[in-house]
Amino acid sequence: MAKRVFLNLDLCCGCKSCAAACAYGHHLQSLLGHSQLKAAELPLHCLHCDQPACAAACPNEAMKKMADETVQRSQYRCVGCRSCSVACPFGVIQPDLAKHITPKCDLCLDRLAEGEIPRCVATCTSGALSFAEVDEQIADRNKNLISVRMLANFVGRRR
Amino acid sequence: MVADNLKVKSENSKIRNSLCLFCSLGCGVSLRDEGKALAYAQDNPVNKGALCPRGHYNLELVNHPGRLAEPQIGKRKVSWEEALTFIKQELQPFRKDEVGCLVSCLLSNEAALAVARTAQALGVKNVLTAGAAADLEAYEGNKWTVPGAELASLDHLEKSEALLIIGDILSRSPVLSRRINQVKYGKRGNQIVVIDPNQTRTTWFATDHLACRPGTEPVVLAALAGALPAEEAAAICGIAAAKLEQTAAAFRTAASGTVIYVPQSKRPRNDLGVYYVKKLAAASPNKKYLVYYLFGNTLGVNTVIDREIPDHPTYHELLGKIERGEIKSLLLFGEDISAGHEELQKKFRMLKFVVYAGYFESESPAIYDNSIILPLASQFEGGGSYVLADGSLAACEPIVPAAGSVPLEKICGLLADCKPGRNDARECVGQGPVTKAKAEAEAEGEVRAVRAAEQGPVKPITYFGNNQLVGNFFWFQVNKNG
Repeated sequence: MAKRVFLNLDLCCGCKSCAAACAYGHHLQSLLGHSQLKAAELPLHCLHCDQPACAAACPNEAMKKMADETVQRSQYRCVGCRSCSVACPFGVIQPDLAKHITPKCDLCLDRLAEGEIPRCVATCTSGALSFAEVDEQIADRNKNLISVRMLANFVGRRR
Repeated sequence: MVADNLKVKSENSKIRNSLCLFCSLGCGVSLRDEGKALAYAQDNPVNKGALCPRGHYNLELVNHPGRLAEPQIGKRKVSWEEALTFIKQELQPFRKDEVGCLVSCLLSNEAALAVARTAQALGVKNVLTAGAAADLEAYEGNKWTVPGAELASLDHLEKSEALLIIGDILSRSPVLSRRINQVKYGKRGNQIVVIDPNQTRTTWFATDHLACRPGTEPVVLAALAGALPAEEAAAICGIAAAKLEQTAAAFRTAASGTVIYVPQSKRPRNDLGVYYVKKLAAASPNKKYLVYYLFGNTLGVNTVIDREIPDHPTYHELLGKIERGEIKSLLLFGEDISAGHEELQKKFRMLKFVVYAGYFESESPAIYDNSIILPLASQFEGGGSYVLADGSLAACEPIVPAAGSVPLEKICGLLADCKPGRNDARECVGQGPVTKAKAEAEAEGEVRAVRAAEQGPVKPITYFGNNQLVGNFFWFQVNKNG
C-alpha cells in the first residue's frame, strides 16, 4: 500500500509552516489549503482517494489517478471550471480566485523521487504530520481519529 | 513509481547547514543547490529539520532579486570608492557627538565587536543596539543578578514536569511546540500553565490558563514568586488569590520545571517580568528559566556593546537626542529600525545624513533622500558566532558565495577613515584649511541667523507668488533678506 500524509490533531499548533514550505517548493504557490475555522487552523491535505470524485467530475481529464496511486492535476488540461472543488468530499481543493488556478497537493513528487518525505511533513514544527503507510495508520485509527484537545476547546468555548 | 526525469536534480545537490536568526531559538537551516532550495536536513538537535513559516524567509535572504550587491546613494548605484569618498565628505561637517550608531541584534558577535571598535576609533559615543524595544527592556531586567537562577537548556525544558509560560511562545517560536507536546503528552500529571490575557495558540496546549488583565503579567509573576501578597496581586491582575497560591504551590512542588518568558511590545515593564522570572526559578530546586528574544543574537550583541562602551545611551535617550536635533547623522548597521514604524520615521526625518548597511533597500522613505546604502553579507555569506536564548554559543560558516555583499567587519575597516569632526583640524583627513573656512562660513551664518531672529520672523516668498500652494516646497523659497 502507498504512503500518505496523516495529521494528528492533538499535536498541531496551527503555525502554517506546512503551507509556507509548500509554497517555497511549488514556485511560491501553496498547494495546501487551511480550514477557515478560528478554533482550529488545520492543514487540509489531499487524501489521494482510491476512487477520486474530483477525477470523476473533471470534464477534461485534468485530474487523473496515476499509476503510482496518487491523484495528479494537469495544469495544461485544466479549464478552471472548479468541478473538482465541488466534487471533493473533504473540501481540500480550494481554488485561488484571484490567480485563476486550482492548486492541489501533488505529494511533492520531486522529493519522493529523491527518497525524501514531502516538504510539509519535513517542516512540521510540532510533529503532527506524518508520512506513513495507510495500513499502519488504520491499525491505530482510534489514536488519531478524534482530537481530545480540539474537542475540549470547542466544547469549552460553547459552554 | 515516479518519473525518472525528476531524479536528475539530486545528483549535484549538496546540503550545507547554517543558522536561522529570526528568533533566538537557534534553528538549523540547511540549503542545497548553492542556496537555490531548502533541504530539511533532520540532523539538527534543536529543530530536527523543522522550520516555522518565518524561517522559510531565510531562502529569500540568499537569492531574492532585491538583495543588494552594490553601494547606493539614494537609488543610484555607485562604486565602493565613490561611496567611501561620499561618506568622508558628508561626515566631515558633523561633530563627534552629533553622530549616532545603531547595531542590529541580527549581527554576529564579531560584527558587534568591530562596530564597537570602529565607533571608538571614530570617537562616536552614541552607540546602541537596535532590536525590538521590548527585547531591550527585557535585557535590562536580565542584568539584575539573582543568585541560584540558571538558564534552562532545551533538554531540561523537554524533561521538565511543570512549564510556566508567560506570553505567546508558539507564535514567536513554533518550533518549540514539539518539546511542549513532549511535556504535555509525555507523562501523566505534567502541568503547563500559561499566563496571557488572550486566547492564543499557546493556550490551546495549556492545562491551566491564567487570563490576567492586559499588562499585569509582572504582578502575577511577583505574586507567584512570593514578592507580593496574593490578595494585593489579585486586586490588580484579576485572578483569584486562591488560584495564584495554588499555582505557585504546584510549581514549587514539581520535580523539575521551566519558566519561559516572551517579551512583548505592548506589555509594560518587561524588565520586572524577567527579574521575577529569575526569582521564581531560583526559589525552588531544579527550576530554570528561559527568555525568548525576537532577534537571534540579542544577548550577544548587547553583551559586547555593554562591555566595550559602558556609558552608551539607552534606546529612549537616543531617540530623544534625534528628536531634539542633537544627533544629526546616523550609522545604521544591519537593519533600519524605522521601516514600517511611522513615529520613528518622523524622528528620522530630522537626520541630515544616514549610512545604512543592510540586506535590502530600506522600506522606510525617511532615510532615502540623502542616505548611502551599503550591501551587507548575511550569516549565510559571512558567518559568525551567536549567543542563543539558552546561553549556548552557536557558530556558522559561510556556505553561499557572496554576490557583492560584504561582511560588516570589512565595512567597519573601510569606515575607520571616515571621521567626523568639524572644529578639530588635526582629525580631519587632508582637508584642514577647507574645514576651517567652512567653520568660519558657518559662524558667519549663525551671526546672520541671530540678526534675522532679532528682526522677527521672515515671511518666505516664492517664485510663484502664492505661498499657500507651494510653500511646502522649500527649494522655491527665497528669503527677502538673504
